[in-house]
Amino acid sequence: MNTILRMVSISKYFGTLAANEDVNLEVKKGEIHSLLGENGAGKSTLMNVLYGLYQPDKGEIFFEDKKLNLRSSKDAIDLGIGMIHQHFMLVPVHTVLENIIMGMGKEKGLVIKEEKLKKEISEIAKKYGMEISLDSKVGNLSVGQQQRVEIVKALYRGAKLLIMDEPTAVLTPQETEELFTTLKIMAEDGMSIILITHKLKEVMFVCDRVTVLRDGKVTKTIDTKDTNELELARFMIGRELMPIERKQEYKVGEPILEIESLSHEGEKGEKSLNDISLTVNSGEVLGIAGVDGNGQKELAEVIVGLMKASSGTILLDGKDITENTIEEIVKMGVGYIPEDRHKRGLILDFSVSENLILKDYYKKPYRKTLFFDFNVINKHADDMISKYSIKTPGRHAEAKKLSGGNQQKVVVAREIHKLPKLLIAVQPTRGVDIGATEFIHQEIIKAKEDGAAVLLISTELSEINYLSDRIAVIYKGGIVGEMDKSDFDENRIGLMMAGAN
Amino acid sequence: MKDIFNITFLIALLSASIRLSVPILFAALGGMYSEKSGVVNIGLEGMMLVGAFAGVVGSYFTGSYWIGTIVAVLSGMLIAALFALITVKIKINQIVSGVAINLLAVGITSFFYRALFGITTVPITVNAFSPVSIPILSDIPIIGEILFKQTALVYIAFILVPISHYIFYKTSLGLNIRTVGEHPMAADTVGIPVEKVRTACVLISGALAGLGGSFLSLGQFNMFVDNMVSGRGFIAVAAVIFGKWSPTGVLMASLIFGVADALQIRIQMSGVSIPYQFLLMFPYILTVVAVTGIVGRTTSPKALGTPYEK
Amino acid sequence: MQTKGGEMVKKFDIFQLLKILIPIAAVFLALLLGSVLLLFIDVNPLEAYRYLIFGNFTNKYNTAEIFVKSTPIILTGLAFTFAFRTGLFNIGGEGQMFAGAMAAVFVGLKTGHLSPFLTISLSLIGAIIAGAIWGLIPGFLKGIFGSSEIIVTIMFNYVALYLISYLVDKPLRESIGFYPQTDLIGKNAFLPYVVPNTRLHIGFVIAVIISIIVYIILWKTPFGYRLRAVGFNPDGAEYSGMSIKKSIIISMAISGALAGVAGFTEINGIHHRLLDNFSKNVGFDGIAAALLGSANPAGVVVSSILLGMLQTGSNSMQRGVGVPANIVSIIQAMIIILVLAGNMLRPKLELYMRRKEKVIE
Repeated sequence: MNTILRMVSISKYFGTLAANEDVNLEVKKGEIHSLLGENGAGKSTLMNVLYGLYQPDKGEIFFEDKKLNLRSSKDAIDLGIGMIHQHFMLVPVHTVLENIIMGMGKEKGLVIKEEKLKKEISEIAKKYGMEISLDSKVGNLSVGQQQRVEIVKALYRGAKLLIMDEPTAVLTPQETEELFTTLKIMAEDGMSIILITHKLKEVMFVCDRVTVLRDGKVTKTIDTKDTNELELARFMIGRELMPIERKQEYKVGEPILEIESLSHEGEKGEKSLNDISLTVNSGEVLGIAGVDGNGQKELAEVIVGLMKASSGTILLDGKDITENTIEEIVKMGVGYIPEDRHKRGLILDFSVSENLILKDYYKKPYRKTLFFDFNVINKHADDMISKYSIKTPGRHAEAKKLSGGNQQKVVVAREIHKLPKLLIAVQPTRGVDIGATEFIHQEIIKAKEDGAAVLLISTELSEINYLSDRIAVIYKGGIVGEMDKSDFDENRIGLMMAGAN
Repeated sequence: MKDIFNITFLIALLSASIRLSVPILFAALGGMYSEKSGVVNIGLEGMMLVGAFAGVVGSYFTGSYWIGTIVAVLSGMLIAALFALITVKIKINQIVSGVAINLLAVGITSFFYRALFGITTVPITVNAFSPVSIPILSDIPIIGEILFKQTALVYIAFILVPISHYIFYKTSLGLNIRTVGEHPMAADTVGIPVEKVRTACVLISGALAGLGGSFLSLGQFNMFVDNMVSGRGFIAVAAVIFGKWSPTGVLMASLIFGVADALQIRIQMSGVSIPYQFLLMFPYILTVVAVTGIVGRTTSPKALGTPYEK
Repeated sequence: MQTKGGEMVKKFDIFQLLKILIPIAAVFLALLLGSVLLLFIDVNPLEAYRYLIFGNFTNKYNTAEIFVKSTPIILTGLAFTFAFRTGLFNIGGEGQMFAGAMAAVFVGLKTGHLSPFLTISLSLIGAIIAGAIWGLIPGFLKGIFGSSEIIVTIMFNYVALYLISYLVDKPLRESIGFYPQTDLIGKNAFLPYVVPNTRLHIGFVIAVIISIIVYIILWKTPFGYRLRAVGFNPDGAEYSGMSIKKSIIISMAISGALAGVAGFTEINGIHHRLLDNFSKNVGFDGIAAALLGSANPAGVVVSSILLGMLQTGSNSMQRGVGVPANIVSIIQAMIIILVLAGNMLRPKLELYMRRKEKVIE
């Protein structure tokens, strides 16, 4: 048996949306196979079908040449299919041991026999060269360690096929290398691995074969040695990426944002921002690269006034705003595209037009004495919808009904259309389809060219490279390196992101 | 007033405190199971009421208070089954569902009481449990008097505390429950049947709440009166929060309320010139203080209150 | 809207129809389940329901009673609705109504000899303030300490209940007689009647006007926008500069004030004095009305009238066939559960129907 998995003509619909249409996927034993595609291409859906979380509407699955009828993820686990999700399925307050054994009551007995179980788990971890401490609470572990727990969890349940969903999204380049080394050891030992990703470099580096998905359908299945990144990109997107329109010369103006020795302490006393100093001038984009969780969120929220700095100063166009509230800061002309649009950026149950006035709702002309002036509000909404090409059933549609990309466009429209002095954009294209991504990138460039100072915070190096004029790297709450766009070197930045100097 | 510091008074007070804490303890333990799996149950009040009523009915028609107790447990579970259906399966908001269940329970108990017993001026009384002294232990001076001369249900209530602790932290079933309450999606991915676990926990909460209610009607008042639970079910919900969702914490919280209740009664009886209405308010105000002093958010099960949808 | 052989228009109608169909179906189902109970006590359901429904219209007095009973329900229903829209569960409508009642009686006893306009206005204002305070305290505790407003408001129900019990027992007990109740409030504080020879007083009109005001505040003003934003997504609301704490406190105060007005209508319009156990459970009827009415002022008014009908009819039913009137609380609870279930299942039904169409196409 050379082929361990065959998915034949899988189709899955959500309402009228075809998340997967007639998909064929074949994985050989001991192979590292990539499932490649853009956000929303249908990769996660396909894997959820394989893992028993969804029932396919059409098609069949053959595992080890036996036809599968999966009714739950338990069935999949029992057969030897293990899945490691992008957002870890770990319970932070449980210990590592508890996370690994949870749900195994039938196999391991009603009473938890700690000693015996710990021994079994340690053996498996050692076999693949992974170190884990079984009594630690998972919430206290680093991201890389948590991922290791997830892997051991799958191995402990006898996985023969391991599915990993965007495993490197949260890792530094060095941690990524470690992971790939582990994966190669496992593959050599006979483990079959499906790697879901949208990162072309990684596909070429570690995978044997790749299946490309686009809009729910398979566009190509090919050996990696027979292809290259450019070709894969075309299979993924279907067309050439549009070059960004920008004027060749840009005028850098006065410093708009000046941060001096900024620090912030979290609830438990840990320093999330450590003595940061930086400057962003009008007409330029400063891109801050870094692995998620190194202080990006705190940096943005302290500047914008949602969190309080413990020391240091922030100047906006010369004025000290360190102690100002978010309301005051926004009034002074600051736009903020937050990392989590569902949390900070939008009120999902509000309509598109209501979301568009989220910052100005109490101001004239939207307000007439004590009441709203709906004529003005509606007109404003129509203007924004057309100017920013927001695809929506109507201005009264609730924001939650829009796609991720269009939701983000609502946020961008609201934050940019008033030509802010300072624009802070954190992960502006996370979870956004390619079309909207290009549009948003274009808007950011336009804002810069209109004179805004742009602070771009992103974990996507390609995005940083694309948009920034200057680049800095944040690590453990501090700035560890600054350079001009022309000095961009991915290896060097990767090392800085991991804290090596 | 001088009686308060008399040792006899203290023994009687503590002994009564234990008795008075039992209904709340049962209901709170039940509430804890439910909340540990992620389901907020403010319908405990209604489930207690149904248990109180069913206990009286069962006891009246069979002459046996044990059968009455069993009927109470089963009735509590029946109501809980409805609650589970609407919160776990249909996924209606848990608070709103709890309110609806309470309204239903009030209606059902008062309707069936009148249907079965007619419109009486004097409530039907039933046989009560008699105290069971635990041999040897009940001879210990003072402590024996307080702890070991209670009725059988009291002992059951207290035994449930270490049993629950063992279940939650030393068995795979308990681990499953806790996982479902913290991260239902993670539970789902390892094959734990989230809805089944939650339903089971809700049923347990109904059984225990029913038991607590029957203790009120069979063990304390020896009758059923409309609305006799008087907010104890809600105090039980507060006890779960105050006890930080742990069996021992819940025990402590219930005892504190028991003491408050016992104290309030004794002060009334001792002839102090505080109007009795203000003394009656005391347990409720204490509850407000309890939930204010606790930062409950950080220790509650993370998925508490959110229906699980794939 | 383009029509493709009339099919698209039909599709549009069905979804709108469902919104009204569900409550109606719920009422029918609940009555059906109720008839099982009636059979259990050897009563013919059809006969009982005849009294239940038509007992409302036998005479002018009964028909007016529908609106009399619905008045406090509208107000406590609005109280729950207002808090609900801000993301809070105010289960303390009962206690806030009691607080309003206590204030209204106090004002009515002291100023009842002044001009009607003056004493009634003062009573209303007193009830509003008292209700607001009774709602403000739980709101404050929630906003500042994060304490569950559900538990605190429920506890305050009992505190208010015992407070009234104390007041009518000792300090405010009637000067002649032995009942636990206060003297009558001054004649001028009595609310005038809308329909003579019935109990229907202007309290009903006041309640309806207030429901319109609530609607306008929540959906037509920046103030209401802010409260709704906090209710839907506190993080997003915070970004736009709204103070979550302030919004919670203000919302609970307003919610309490609305329920306080119910105390005013019941005292000044019906009882004219404070007594133990007046207007039993009206606070919870209000919650029922709010749930049935989808937390929407117009829905609340309609549902309150429906509940008023049930309650008036149940008295007829008790007199006519001897069925205990409280079967109506069972029916009420079942209606709520069925409506809520129906609303939850509606989107799934819609999705299913839409999908069927796509496959056919």
